[in-house]
Amino acid sequence: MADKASGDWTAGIIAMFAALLIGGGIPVGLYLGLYAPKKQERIDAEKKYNELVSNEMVLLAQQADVMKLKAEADEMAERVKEIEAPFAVGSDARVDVPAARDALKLLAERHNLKLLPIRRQQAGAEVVFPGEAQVTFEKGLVATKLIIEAQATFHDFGRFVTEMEMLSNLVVIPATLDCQGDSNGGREHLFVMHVFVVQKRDVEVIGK
Amino acid sequence: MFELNLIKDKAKSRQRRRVIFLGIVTILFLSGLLAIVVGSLFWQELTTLKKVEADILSKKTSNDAIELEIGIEKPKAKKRRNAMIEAWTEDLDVRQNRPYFTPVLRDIADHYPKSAEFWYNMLQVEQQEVVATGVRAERDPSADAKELMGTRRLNGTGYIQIEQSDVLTVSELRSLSGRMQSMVKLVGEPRFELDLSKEPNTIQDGGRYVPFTIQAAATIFSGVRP
Repeated sequence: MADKASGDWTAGIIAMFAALLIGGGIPVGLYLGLYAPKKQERIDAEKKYNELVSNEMVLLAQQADVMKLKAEADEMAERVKEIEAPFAVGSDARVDVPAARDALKLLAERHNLKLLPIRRQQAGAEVVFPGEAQVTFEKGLVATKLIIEAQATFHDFGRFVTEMEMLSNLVVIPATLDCQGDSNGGREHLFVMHVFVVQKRDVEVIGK
Repeated sequence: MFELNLIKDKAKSRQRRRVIFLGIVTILFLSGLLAIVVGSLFWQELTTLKKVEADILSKKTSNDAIELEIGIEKPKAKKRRNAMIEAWTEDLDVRQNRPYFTPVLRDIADHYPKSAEFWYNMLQVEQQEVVATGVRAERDPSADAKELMGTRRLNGTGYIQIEQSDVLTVSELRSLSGRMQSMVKLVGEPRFELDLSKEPNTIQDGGRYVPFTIQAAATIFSGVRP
């Protein structure tokens, strides 16, 4: 009888051991086969996410730099507009600065500048007229040519030139001057002067 | 007695089997429980991973969009900012350093020799050409603008009625050119030259009418507001 009892226990213990092995193997297998690789995968993914977050910080800093550059460009655009306040507005139809030409014509009238004798018979002749030429500066500034042809005394013409160069609402660059003295010994001489009127830029298209 | 022992043995045997069965069931129950715990942990990892992967995808998409925007916008912004600075610098240069003719005209009007009558027949202020340099010596596209902002050359002719000696007149003309300081900034120091060979033979009013020329060409220029 004792042998039977001992045999039962042995079989039971073996069965329990087998149950332990099989039953324990399942969670261990699940742990090692599913959970652990997935956990590693999650850790790797989180690492990658953190890298992307730090990369985003760098990109946001770069984006802030871009915004700063844009703000600086806008600020400079305002300063360009400010400094170009006395520059003339060009004509779309032809190479001309009509408002500046009118202003110089008024000035010429005020200083008694008359038409050249050879122009007096010409229809539509004016003391100040477009020179049909432009000069472009290295960085895009444009100046339009106007020609002043007049008969006047030296002092009248001198005062006209001084006032023209001191105008607060125009920037006029004198290019050439040709003055022929009155051949009859009179006081009124012939003046041909080429000037360039500096034009406003289109600020919106600068650097675009 | 024998039967009683047999009954007891059967009971013990049943008891042993029950213990073994309960042991096995307990082990299997615990291992199942453990497997459920591990399974729930796995599920948790799985859902977390899915969420992280979705975050990664969204972050990567937004980063790519930002990077693309920066790649396009940064060079444009930099180019515009630099162009604005260049434009402003050029505007400032043109406003501050442009040439003025008033100093030249004022000098011509204000300064005469005291010992002689003096007339100008002709006065010309011209631009000085910017000379092309380099191997190919191509003309600079902005040469016209440089010429416009650059120095000027002055040429003039006239007559002087010399009443005293030529030496005195020449000396006075030299001192006259020295007084024409404003002109120097634009066209340089003027030089008078008497052309005594072209002196007309007639002498009127006790004087001699002698043609002269005035010339100046500056090498260094800075615009001075009148």
